[in-house]
Amino acid sequence: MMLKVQNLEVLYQRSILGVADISIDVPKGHIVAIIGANGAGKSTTLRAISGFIGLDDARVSNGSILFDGRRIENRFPHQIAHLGIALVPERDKVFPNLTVQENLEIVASRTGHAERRHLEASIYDSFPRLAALKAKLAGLLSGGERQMLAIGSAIMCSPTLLLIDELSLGLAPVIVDDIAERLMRIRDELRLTILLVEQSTAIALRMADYAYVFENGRVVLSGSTDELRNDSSIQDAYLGTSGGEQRNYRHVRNRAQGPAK
Amino acid sequence: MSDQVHPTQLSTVMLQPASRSARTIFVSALLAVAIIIFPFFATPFHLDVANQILLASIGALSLMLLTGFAGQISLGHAGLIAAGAFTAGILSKEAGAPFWIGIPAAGATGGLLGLIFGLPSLRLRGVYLAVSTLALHFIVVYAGGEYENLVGGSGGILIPPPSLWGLKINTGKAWYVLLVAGAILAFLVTWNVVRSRTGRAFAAVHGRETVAAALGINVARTKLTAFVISSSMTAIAGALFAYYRGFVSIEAFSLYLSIQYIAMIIIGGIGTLPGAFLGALFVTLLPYLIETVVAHLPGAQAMAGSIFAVNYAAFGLVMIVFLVFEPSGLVGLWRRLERRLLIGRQSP
Amino acid sequence: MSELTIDKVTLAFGGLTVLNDISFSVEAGELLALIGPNGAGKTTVFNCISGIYRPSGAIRFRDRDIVGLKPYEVAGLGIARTFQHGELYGRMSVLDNLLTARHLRIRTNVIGEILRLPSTRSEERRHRDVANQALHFVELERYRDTPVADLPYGVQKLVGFARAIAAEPNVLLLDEPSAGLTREEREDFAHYILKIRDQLNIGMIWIEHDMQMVADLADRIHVLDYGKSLADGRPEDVLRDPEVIRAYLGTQAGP
Repeated sequence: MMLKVQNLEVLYQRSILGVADISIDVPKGHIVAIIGANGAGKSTTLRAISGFIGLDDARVSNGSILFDGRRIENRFPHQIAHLGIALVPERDKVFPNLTVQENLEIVASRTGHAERRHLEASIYDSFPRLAALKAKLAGLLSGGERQMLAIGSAIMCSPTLLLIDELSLGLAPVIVDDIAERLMRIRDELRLTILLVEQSTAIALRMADYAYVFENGRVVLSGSTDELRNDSSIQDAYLGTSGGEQRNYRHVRNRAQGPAK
Repeated sequence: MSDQVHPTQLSTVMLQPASRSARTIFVSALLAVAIIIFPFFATPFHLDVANQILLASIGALSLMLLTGFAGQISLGHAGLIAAGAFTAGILSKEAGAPFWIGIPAAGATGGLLGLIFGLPSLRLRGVYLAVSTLALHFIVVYAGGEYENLVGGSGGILIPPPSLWGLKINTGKAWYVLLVAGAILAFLVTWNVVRSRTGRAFAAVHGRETVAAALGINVARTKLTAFVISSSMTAIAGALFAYYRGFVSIEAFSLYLSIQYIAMIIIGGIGTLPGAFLGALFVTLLPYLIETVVAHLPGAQAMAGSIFAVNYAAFGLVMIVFLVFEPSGLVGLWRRLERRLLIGRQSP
Repeated sequence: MSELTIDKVTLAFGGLTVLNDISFSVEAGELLALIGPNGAGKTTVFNCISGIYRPSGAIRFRDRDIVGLKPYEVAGLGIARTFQHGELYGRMSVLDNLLTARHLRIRTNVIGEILRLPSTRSEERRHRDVANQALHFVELERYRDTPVADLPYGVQKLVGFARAIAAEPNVLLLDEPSAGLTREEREDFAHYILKIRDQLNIGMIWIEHDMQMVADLADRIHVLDYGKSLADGRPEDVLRDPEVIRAYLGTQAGP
């Protein structure tokens, strides 16, 4: 197992529970997805793995995170990056005041010059759009282009495990399709393992081999994506299909009561 | 605002309302009793400290309104206190004006200065605004110094003790009663503003100005209102200070005083009214605490000369500790303890 | 007459043209979806309407050109909006958040507030009642006194929506109200959006990325692409438009 999260508990400000008793396995070479609504604890888990919760005044208070058999919880983000885990963050993806090329160049690498050139070539090869924008300031890029650059920057760390916090958020469907396809290609080329946090259940189930469903800071369901696609509770709650039929938003609501929460 | 959602936090929030209001009443009652019986047991020294805390509370409440609620940072607080003190002092010296004229005159002066020095806030934010309010400080201090030179010497202005309804306010106890009333009044004013349309506009402008404007709030007007109300209150606190001391000199109003007031609202808890009182209490007592500690150290004699340096250093240290470990101040600390107790009680 | 008309609106920052000759309108009781890729200028259109930017061209509320009005003046005409992020005041209770939207209608002054005069109190009470009705409309009464920061994300989104309703607007601008919500929460939202349209007869412009929601709910769709109007029409036509599929929808298109 490349990444093993066991009974993870994260406390914010020493007293507020972020996630409780999360266990996740990410086998080498696979794509694993975490699905759930905002506030379900998806990002918290990803930031716990990548060490960024320290910046949010939070700590892993219980459980463990094992990467290649080594415990990595509560370390600094740069230490974790050095072990070969790179994060594509949800916000602040790029340095807006640097060009595309500079964004890739400033990444501290774990490897030598030749390897860097190779990675850079792979990135420009997989995302030709970035190659065309090399000299443009990252702050002027569109949402899709930023996402490509963020993925590129993460790959420049030459990771073995790539963590992606929201791949599709705020992007046009046609762009998401394009990025997903190119991401799959570069993953095959570099043999990356991916842990993906995704709000869009449809996209997560399409890309991943295995998925975990989060609700209120806990895992409520998990399984291979084939199993989940056929799971009626997933269909009902996340895909909006009942009995194989897509439910229409216009007619769905017969509940007399307010929102479920 | 945090957009993280914490399930357990939600459950404790749901727990609170009933038990919380009962606790609030209990704590308030306890506090009221303590305030009433305090002067019967206090020494003159203790009364003086208590009066200083009460004066500081009024100043802290007014800064809390401006910075803690409306989000406008000001380093001009000492300047406004000085303006109030000098208004009362000059009126008393030059025209023999009584207390009941000196106080409203100080309020009016403060309000006017607030209006003028609030204008940069329409363009500037954060640190830039803070720097622009420094101008207020230096202008007032300069004007005060010039006045002192004009009247000769640098002795400052003597003010006779005020009288109200024929009663002379010249003992610690009389001042205590007057200042308790003043602090309660200041609390009511700020509280009433905070829970009304104007207070909600303050919070909205503090949050995000574009959103506030889209809600129909005139951002410029709201900021100026905050400056005027706060500055007016601050100047009144300054006038009370002048009457209390019976003496005004420009030396008392250094930039350090402004920083102390900022410390009060940070240490107390930004954006809370009880925080203004807790911060005033803490910052006023700190030097006395340090003095006591230093006096008990071996070689106390040798350190007596450097007590001011120790004070400054300790003050800076406390500020840093709060900013790093408890940004929500004493009020935040209190709430967290409460939450811990509640969670503890919940689990079997 | 349309409630709100965007007439040949163009906006440029420096040399960069952000909006290029955009035109569309919304009627009372109509739900108009505004879709397009990120950076197409959807939120920029909202910022032009609400007076944050000053474009060339005309934006008319009924027959009055509102370009050049200040944001609070636009709000005063009854044009309310929701924001994607950071729109609510976390430390304030849900009810107080709703009351901020009634700022222009509450007739109290600072002196009365400081003295908490009886007239101030009764005015506050009156507007509290309206805010309570808005809460009732989205069935959030149980959270009335809870600080917003303590609420789950989905509920917060609904509070933002309720606040816009509390302003009793003529036109409502919704900026991605469903982003980050679960399917179930989206279904609730859909219910309230339809309820507003049908019961309150408010014209709505609705920025949305969930194409199924748009297909099911919108009366009309306007598509933006890189600052230009790409298509306008009924959902069934627009979502089959080859241009729209190429520029925005991609292969997973179709209602």
